Amino acid sequence: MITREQSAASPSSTGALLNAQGDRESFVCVDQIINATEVGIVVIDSQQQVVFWNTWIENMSNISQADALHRSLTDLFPTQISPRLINAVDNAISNRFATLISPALNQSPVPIFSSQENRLLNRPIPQMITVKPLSGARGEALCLVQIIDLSQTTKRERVLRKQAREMQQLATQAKEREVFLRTLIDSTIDGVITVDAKGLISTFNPAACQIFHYLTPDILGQPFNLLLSPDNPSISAAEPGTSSILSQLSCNSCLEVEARKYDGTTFPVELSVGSMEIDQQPVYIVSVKDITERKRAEAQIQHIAHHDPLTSLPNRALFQDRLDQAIALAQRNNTLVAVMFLDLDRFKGVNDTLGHHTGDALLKSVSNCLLECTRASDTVARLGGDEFAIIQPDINSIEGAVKLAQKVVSATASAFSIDDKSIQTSTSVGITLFPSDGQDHEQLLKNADTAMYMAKKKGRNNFQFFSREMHEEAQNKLKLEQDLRAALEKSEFFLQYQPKVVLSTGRVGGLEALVRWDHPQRGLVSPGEFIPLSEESGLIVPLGEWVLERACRETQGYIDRGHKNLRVAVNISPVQFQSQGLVESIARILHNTGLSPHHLEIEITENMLMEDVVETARRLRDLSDLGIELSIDDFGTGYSSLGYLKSFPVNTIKIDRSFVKDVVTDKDSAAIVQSIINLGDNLGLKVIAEGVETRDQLQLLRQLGCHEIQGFIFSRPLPAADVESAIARINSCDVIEPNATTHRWRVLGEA
Amino acid sequence: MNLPATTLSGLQEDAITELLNIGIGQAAGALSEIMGEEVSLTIPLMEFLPNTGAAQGVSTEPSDIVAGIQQRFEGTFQGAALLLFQESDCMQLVRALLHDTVPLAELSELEEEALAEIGNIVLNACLGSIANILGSSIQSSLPLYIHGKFDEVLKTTDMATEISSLLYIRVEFQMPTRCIGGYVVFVFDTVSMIRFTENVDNFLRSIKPPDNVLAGPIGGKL
Repeated sequence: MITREQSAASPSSTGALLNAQGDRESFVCVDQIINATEVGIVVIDSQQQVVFWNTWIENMSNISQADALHRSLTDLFPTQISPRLINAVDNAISNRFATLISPALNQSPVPIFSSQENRLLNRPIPQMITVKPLSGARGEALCLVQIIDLSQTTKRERVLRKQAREMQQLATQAKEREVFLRTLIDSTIDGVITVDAKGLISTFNPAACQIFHYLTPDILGQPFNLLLSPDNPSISAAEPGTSSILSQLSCNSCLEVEARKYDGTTFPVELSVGSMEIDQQPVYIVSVKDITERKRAEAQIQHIAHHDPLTSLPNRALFQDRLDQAIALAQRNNTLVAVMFLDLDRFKGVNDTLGHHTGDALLKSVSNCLLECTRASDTVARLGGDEFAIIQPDINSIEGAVKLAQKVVSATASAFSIDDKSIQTSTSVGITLFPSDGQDHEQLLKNADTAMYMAKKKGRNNFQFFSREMHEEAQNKLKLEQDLRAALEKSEFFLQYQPKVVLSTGRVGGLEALVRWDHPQRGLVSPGEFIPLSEESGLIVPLGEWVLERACRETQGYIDRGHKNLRVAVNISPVQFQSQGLVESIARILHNTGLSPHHLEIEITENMLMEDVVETARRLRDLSDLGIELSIDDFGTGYSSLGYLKSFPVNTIKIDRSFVKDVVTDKDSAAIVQSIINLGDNLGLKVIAEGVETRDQLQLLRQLGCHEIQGFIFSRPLPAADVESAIARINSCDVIEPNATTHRWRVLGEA
Repeated sequence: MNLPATTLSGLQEDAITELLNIGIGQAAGALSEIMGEEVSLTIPLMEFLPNTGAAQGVSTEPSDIVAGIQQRFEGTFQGAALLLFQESDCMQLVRALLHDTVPLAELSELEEEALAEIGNIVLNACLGSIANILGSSIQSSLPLYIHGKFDEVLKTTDMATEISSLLYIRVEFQMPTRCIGGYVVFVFDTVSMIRFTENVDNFLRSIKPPDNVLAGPIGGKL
């Protein structure tokens, strides 16, 4: 192809070419060149007529040189010639100006074609036309028209433009897509946050701003964890500043977590996390939904589903659920569950005579009353109508249930003030106990219902246990407790004393005071029965004081009558020991009775030592400071730490009677007794064996090194009046001599 | 060498402007025809500048990139005529002419050809007017696309060492949607410069009224 620079020869060089016409060989050569060239070459004279028409243009135009010569371009291409080409030719001939007609701006290209097909389609060759002035051999003005095929260039450029257009379309589409997505993200009501591989926030849409109260510019680049409550267990496990939480989350479709607002308040959100890779780095797309309202609604629905709308008490469904839990707890702890079925007596009458409004108000008052009667751990439910139920979980004995039932019956039997009217009502209560009265909630409730009907039959306003034995036991306990309260006032208690014999001297060194209850109907009641009852009812404190007072007074009497070294031991129960003012009370009693403190010995059980060690030690020290002797009862049965034992101001340990009982027959018991005696010796404590009944026991205990002996072998517990004669009798026997024991046995047998 | 005039008298300026306006009008007609929309060309400013200060006319710095068309001419006076634009303006102009919606990063071959044709039309019109009216004989060569730093572009005229002055003619292409400004720059060698101003003076004399009212070193406007 001829470039424009080559073809843009100066007018003078064109002249040089034409000057060679004289030389035939040169002319043939130049002629061949011109006809062989791939450019259309046309020379036009000042008459506008073609004087030269090369082979290329012949081929392309389908017009032979013979046909073209001496004709004008307008003549050759009558309809299709550009007026600009005509002007350019004119300009070259008359003004000697060169003209360029570029393909891009040429509306009417010269009709020359590269193929027959293009000719039929009238699709001329893309062409550049240059028009230049020439001078003929005689100096006449000529014009050179060159037509250059730009098909290749045009084609190349078309491809380039197509590519460029496609690129632009892609760019436009990408931009539109981005705007679309951005609008989508900006207008969605869910928070949309993107997080990069380092766990830093890279996108934060307006909804996220609303949810978290952050401004987008403030939060961008901050760690995503900032938006999560540190209390989330799964989040605290994740390293701060990493996206490990997100990689965890992206495995789940949806997760509820606690989120954190700008001001630090936390709230529940639902996260769904998607991940993708950009530049081979993970990017997490987090969609955040504030579910505060939903949670609230759920809780409300939950409450509605499980509570009675009138009283807000748990309904039957929740009651059953709680009872199932209580049963499971009781099975684990080996405790009891009491279930009470309550029915208001004659409630229908209230509804019928005073109307439903009053009836409803009464039910509300009753429910409040029941709540006041119960512990926080109990459940009060309304099962429907005037039926209520109570679960009393994790109780140790029937007494707890009895007390609550009593409380409920008496509280609901008082008049309720409704709308300025006083309404008298009462309640019948049926009680079942797990595990004895049923194994599941259905059975327990059904049987409680049955028990409640029994209560109705018994004249209402009372409670009934489902099982007869249970009911009788409960009734008996109640009766006994009532009697116990009266017993102090009626002076039904009295003391007995059991002597303690010092083995080294064979003489009585002390007495253990033991309380007895002479019940007017039942006769003597076992301390094992009434002591726990008095502890439960709180009667133990006045009873304990009475015992101390009595023991001190009577002992002082013995001392006054000559038994100078007598010391009395009084048992203190755990409840009494922990009661306020114990030490002051004892000091007052000593003062009132005139008994010297070292004549008093307080016995506490080994187990009491280990409860609240600090407080126990303080009390023991206070007592010791008064000058009172301290003794540990039932030693060997508890789990006292020997280290503590050393730090307590204890004087005596008393071997539990269970070891003494088998000391002769059982080697292990003997070994334990021996150990206790050795321990006492090492710690400088006196060791007493109680419950000694036989000569063999006595002999063995003496061999083992026991200091004192208490038991039937010397004396039963004796009424106060018989103590002095017993002391005299024991002191008169020689217990040091082994063979003397036979004699004593005989003596005791006579007593 | 005697440098006769680096400035034109007001009368000369007015005369040249008048000459060029005629040619420019024809060029605008040709352009409108090619583009199928109204294009008008105006010459708001014309001045001679010394070679050294020439850069300021077209670009702020000699190293600024300019683009345009160069055409050589010879005859009564010889030199080069250039149509120059700031590079970005040049692209805008071509694309406005071609109604091209997909601009490429650089001018394509065909776009360069198109720009050459535009330059050819404008420069031929200017040269034609000058030649016709001054009765001079001028031949022009084909247009050549030029692109580069201003001072380098000037060197392509092969006359840089001989240039005494450049004739700057501000040309504005006003199209319906935009207006793009460029410069027609005539580069004369010293001899041609003298002949040119002589021809202008001759022309002025030929039309000067007999009472000589406009004589003077700096005449008023015609």
